[in-house]
Amino acid sequence: MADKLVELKTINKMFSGVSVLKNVDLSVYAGEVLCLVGENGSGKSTLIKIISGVYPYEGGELYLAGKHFAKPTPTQSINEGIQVIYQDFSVFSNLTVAENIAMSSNIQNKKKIVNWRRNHKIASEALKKIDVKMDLEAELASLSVAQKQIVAISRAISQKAKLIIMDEPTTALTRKEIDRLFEIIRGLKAQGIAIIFVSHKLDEVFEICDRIAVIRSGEIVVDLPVEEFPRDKLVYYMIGKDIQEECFACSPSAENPMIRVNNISRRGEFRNVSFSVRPGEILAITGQLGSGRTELALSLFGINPIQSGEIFIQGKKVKIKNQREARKLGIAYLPEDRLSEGLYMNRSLGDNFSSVIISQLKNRFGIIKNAVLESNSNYWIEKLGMTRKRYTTPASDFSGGNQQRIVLGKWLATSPKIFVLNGPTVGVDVKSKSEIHAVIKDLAAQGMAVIIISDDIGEILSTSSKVIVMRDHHIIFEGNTCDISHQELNAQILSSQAN
Amino acid sequence: MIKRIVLKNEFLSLSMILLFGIIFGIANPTFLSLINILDLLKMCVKPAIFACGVMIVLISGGIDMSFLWIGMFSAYSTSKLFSIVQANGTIVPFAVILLVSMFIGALLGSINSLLVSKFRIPVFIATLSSANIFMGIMFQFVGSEYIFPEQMPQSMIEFSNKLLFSFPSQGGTLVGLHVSVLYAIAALLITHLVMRYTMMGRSVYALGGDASSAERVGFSLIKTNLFVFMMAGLIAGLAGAIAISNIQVANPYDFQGQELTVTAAVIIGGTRVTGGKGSVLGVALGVLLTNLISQNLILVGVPPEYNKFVFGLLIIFATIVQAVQERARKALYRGL
Repeated sequence: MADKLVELKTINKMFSGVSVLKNVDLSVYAGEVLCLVGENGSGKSTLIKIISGVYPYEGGELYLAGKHFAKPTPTQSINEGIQVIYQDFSVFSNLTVAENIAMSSNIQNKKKIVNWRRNHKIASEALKKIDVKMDLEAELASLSVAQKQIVAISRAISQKAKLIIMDEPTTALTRKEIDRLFEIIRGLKAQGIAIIFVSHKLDEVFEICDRIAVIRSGEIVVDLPVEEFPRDKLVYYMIGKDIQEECFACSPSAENPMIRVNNISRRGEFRNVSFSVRPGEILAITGQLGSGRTELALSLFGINPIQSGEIFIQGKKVKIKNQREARKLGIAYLPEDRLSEGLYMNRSLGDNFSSVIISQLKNRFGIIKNAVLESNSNYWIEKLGMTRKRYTTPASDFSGGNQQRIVLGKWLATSPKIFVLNGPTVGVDVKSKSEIHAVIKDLAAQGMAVIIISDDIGEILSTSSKVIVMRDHHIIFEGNTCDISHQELNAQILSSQAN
Repeated sequence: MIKRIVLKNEFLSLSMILLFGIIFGIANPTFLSLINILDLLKMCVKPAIFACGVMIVLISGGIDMSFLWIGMFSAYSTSKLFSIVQANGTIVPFAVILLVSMFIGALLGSINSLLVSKFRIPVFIATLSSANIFMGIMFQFVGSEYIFPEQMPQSMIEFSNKLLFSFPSQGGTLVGLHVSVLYAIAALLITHLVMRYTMMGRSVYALGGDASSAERVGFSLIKTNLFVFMMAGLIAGLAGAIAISNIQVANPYDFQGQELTVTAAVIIGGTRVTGGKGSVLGVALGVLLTNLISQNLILVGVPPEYNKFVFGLLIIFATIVQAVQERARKALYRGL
């Protein structure tokens, strides 16, 4: 048996009287990849923070590298070889690759003077361990997200990490970059370094992990090697009930398309794209990052207007030159990055819900009454199933799933005819995901034309009636979701890898 | 390789110095005379030393509005103190004057740091208010009258007359490299070494880049902040004392309104306004460039009132060039 790097025995943790972790038993062995799967709020992050010494634990025992720690500190945890790579990587975009990698080990060794040659050595050794070549003098701001992640991993390695905890490492990566990350993880594993891989994406979990531990409401409900893990049961373990993944058959409420685009192009982004969506239909547009799918969505919303081709809305030819025109035509757009583009994070729920329709809420003196704001918000709170939420709470206080609901509600308030959703459930846990899907389907049933941009195959198959696959800026596949299997669609999306 | 040099932030000020140098040289051949160059270097001394402190605060992510008043407070109080000591018959060496002034500056800087890290007041507001407080305290408790050469500590006057490699000019006056230029070079060099080769210096870059990441990798933000403002204060104390010595008069209003000229030089030299980036070499070039322009604009027939106008254009131009460089750097490294 390999060395036990971390051992948790009946660990308990309470936050203001609420039990967050209940009798958690978990061990991590050298050279294994353990996936920690759980919904938002299941206790995943608390568990990570206990292992890394950020939070103290209450009941039970914690062993790091065989040593008992009653009250571990972050420094002790680092000294035992435990490294956490957070979603934001905690790297410095204004510094070079070499300095970023070497910085932590300089701090750890209480260096007062910087030896740049030593920095370079530390960095190139760490990069060599994961077999990656990178310009050590490049400033991080000029690198891609995936390259920054590699820097964060190298930094962990340079601190003699024995266990690297990665918090949702694949969220912002393309498929190609994910493959590269997995290669790196396998390489680390071969060197005896253990990985705790925290993820929402079920496909990835089975692809990379040796062992899967599912945490639900603070308890480890199952902890099995991947070979013995019943694949179809994972979602059940995570949320405690089954969610059906079946194809979505739509019933368009009218024959004439709500929106029809004919041969639209925009230089360098997409070319000769044609499709139509009828009221009640849900069209999925998929493809890899950079295939042109997001650019297409932005054009439909007037952010980057098309340069040629035609767009018809309810049979009438229209020009969408900016967002204001798009909104007037009844188009709503849910952006990919809700944190920076979709929400006023520090404003209240009520303010967010009313932000797009603010001109409709004001009275004839241009004044907005609180009561109007409240009734508008309460309507959407109820409609979106966000029970027991107050309209005065700031958006930043909500979980990912609820934040996505707020953005949805904000746009639904404009009563759009066409709704373009870019990555509607990115970073949202399984349960909220299926609830958001239900909302989307409900919208279509009411006669809205919906376009979903997504790379989540399960999501596409279970929510859309038609699917378009893009590659190299044009459409390479078009079909009904009921006629294509998960694997076939996956193959279509990945086909670009071949060339 | 050439591409990388072009993409360096210092490249802009260097090429502008060459450009303006050529223009001024053609327009007026006396520009390239030794006397003119020596004069330019002496002119740069005060802004160059102040600029070191301004750069450190800018890198940490803040804008310092108090450095001139810290400089004046320290230098004025020091010369007043030692003019009294001198009146009682004790002559104090110049080094002691500098050290006392730097000490006072560091002390005032630590007050800034307290405001910023303890009370979480934004740097701009904290230093804007502290500048006024320092000014008020000085006028109330130290004095507001001029200190004339007769009362000034002797060593300061001696310093101001000290020339290296002096020779008589055509007019018969003695010209040479003023000794304070060496002090400025030393200040620049030490700032460079501290910022580049100590972990403390690097922590300032980390703080300016991303404060929460800096905390997470294990830097103490309180310590770094204290360092930033004590260094800035210490440098301001040094700059103030040298500037007062050079003009042989302590005029409490002498530095007023020069905040932006110094800050502009630092920014034109490639220091990023939002923090995290900046180099001493760039700052030195930025100071050289701005002083070159204000010294010589008149030689090419532009009235001195247009100095500020040209500075304003230069800042806009520098900011645009930096943005273009940033984008080009991305294109250069993404491909790897």
